[in-house]
Amino acid sequence: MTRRSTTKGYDLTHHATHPDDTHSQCGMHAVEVQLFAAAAERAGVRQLTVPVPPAASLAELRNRLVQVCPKLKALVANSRWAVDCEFVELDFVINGDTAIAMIPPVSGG
Amino acid sequence: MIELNDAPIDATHVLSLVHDPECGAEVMFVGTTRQWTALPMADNTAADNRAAGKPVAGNSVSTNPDRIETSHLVYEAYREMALVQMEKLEAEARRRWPVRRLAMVHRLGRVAASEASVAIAVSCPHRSEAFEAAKWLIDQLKHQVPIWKQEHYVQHGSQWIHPTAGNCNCGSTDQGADRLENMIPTDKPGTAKSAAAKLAADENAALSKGQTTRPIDSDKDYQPSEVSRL
Repeated sequence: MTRRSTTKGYDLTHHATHPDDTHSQCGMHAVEVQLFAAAAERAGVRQLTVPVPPAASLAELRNRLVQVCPKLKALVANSRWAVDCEFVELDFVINGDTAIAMIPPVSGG
Repeated sequence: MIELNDAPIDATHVLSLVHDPECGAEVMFVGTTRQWTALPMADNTAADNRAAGKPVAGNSVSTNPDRIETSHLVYEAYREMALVQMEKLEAEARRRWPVRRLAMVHRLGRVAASEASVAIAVSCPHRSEAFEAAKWLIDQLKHQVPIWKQEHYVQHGSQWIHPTAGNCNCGSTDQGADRLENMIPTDKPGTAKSAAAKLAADENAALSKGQTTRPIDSDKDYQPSEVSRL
């Protein structure tokens, strides 16, 4: 099984001018969220692009992720979040150029 | 030595990695893929009997008619983060106990029934600290390291395992009975026909009702608990 192991970092200061950014008109930024296990299975992809306003928190990102992919709603409620390979709380403010991952309850071992 | 590996785990080799002339104790935990898992009994008879010290009917999986056979597991990891978190666990274990050498290997990809999925070995001057360190490491790995298993059943289907709570007996900071354990079904609702599918209770129903399902981890006694931060 292959997977992109890193998330493309976004330079938010320049992103709004990106020609592909359909959200630039409303000041939204695109954030890439890595998905794993049942989350990836439900979404059908291993990475989703989620539009968020500037300086959004993970809580906001989480809500918008569910709007982008309603199938993730129940699993999102139980998941933790990681930024640059560390667990973070929902009040973490997304500040660009970070690898953001939704971490469903883990079951290694 | 910390490793995520797609190849089978050589437990003898892992143990040899922690040999140290200043240590009188080498402790290794090996987690294996359980072929047979008993489904929970409909009532609390088994638990009541066990609490009362009475023989427990259906206690043995081999005599339990309501059991499920796993053909293999598939493990997936957020590799980059998993390695970071495993390194943090090693550092914390070394801070807490006089660990001389440590080896932690988790297998990824397809793992057949009865094969090892994880091995953790530590060496310490004395046995008590080696036992404590090894137990702490496997408990923490199960809580903190982003690795997931997908169970594939002989009879029917497969599912990702996402335990969100339970009565973890690891002795850490579990919150006990108010936690839930949830299993995320892979099978579509309405196609469930087997014991495997029976396990795959509807996710939303489980969440809203606080439904508790069976222990699902590769070592028999594990149930997930609250996540404790290092």
